[in-house]
Amino acid sequence: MERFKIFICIDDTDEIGYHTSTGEICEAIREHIMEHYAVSAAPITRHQLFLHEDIPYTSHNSSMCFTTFLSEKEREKVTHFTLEHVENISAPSSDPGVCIAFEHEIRDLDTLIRYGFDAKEKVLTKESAYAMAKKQNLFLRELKNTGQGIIGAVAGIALRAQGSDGRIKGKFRLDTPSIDVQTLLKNDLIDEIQLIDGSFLSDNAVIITKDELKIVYLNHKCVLLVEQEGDYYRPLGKEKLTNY
Amino acid sequence: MFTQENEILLFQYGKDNYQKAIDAACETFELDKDEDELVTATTQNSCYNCLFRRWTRESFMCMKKSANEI
Repeated sequence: MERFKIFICIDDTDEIGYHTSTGEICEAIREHIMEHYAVSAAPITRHQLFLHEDIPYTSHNSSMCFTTFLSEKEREKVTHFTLEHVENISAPSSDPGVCIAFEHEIRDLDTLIRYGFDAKEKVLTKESAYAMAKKQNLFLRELKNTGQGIIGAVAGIALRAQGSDGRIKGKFRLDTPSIDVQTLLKNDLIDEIQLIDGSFLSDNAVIITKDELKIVYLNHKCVLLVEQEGDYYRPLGKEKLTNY
Repeated sequence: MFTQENEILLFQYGKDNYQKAIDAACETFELDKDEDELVTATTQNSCYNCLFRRWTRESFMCMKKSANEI
């Protein structure tokens, strides 16, 4: 049974004041796959899309995407589960969209990526999302109400495939107030540690880890961004990560 | 703290005035249940972290209170 890299992205599953976020729904799908198919899945990325009065987003207009590896047959089952789960758990007035695609079946990645960046700075239509999905061989489905979430679902896959957009869902805290780079990089959740200008730290540089750590997605890697503070380095906090 | 445009209550200090967003937090504040949407510390209530804020390009709208309550 050969498995291929697959993108799964959902958008627009909530409403103002709703108890379950798009991120939580996406996490449930990811966990279902890991549990039922004995396969690992990459972390979920949150992709910020355009904020504009003509876009009927709920509160922040972001989509959630992750990747894993599945066979053709597994894809069918996962697609069925994802559609059913999103339909059942999304908010009554939400407009969910689901997009699923094997990486190797995407016909023109550059064009798809341009669509993703368009969704960060333009008002796009559902028709454009359907057209892009057809052109790029993506599975795309709207599930409720207006189904407007299909735009973000396509864009989320595009931005995830581009590899340098968004924050990793979740946060984590270490049980030590400081740690050196070499030791921290042994943590499975962090691929690289960088300053904002993209430069790397020496292995023995010390990072203050009293606060929770938030990771961003850069160059297809989970990156902890830090800033210098005297002789040490401090991870960028939420306020400084809002543009990611 | 807010201006009214048609039926919309818009926070007038943008997205980066963390102190004003704390000052503006009201009795109807509810922390966003989605940790990934929290943009500032949760030690004090801040409209920036409220479940009922809706972000715009420049700031956010309050979706909870009506105009005559602000």
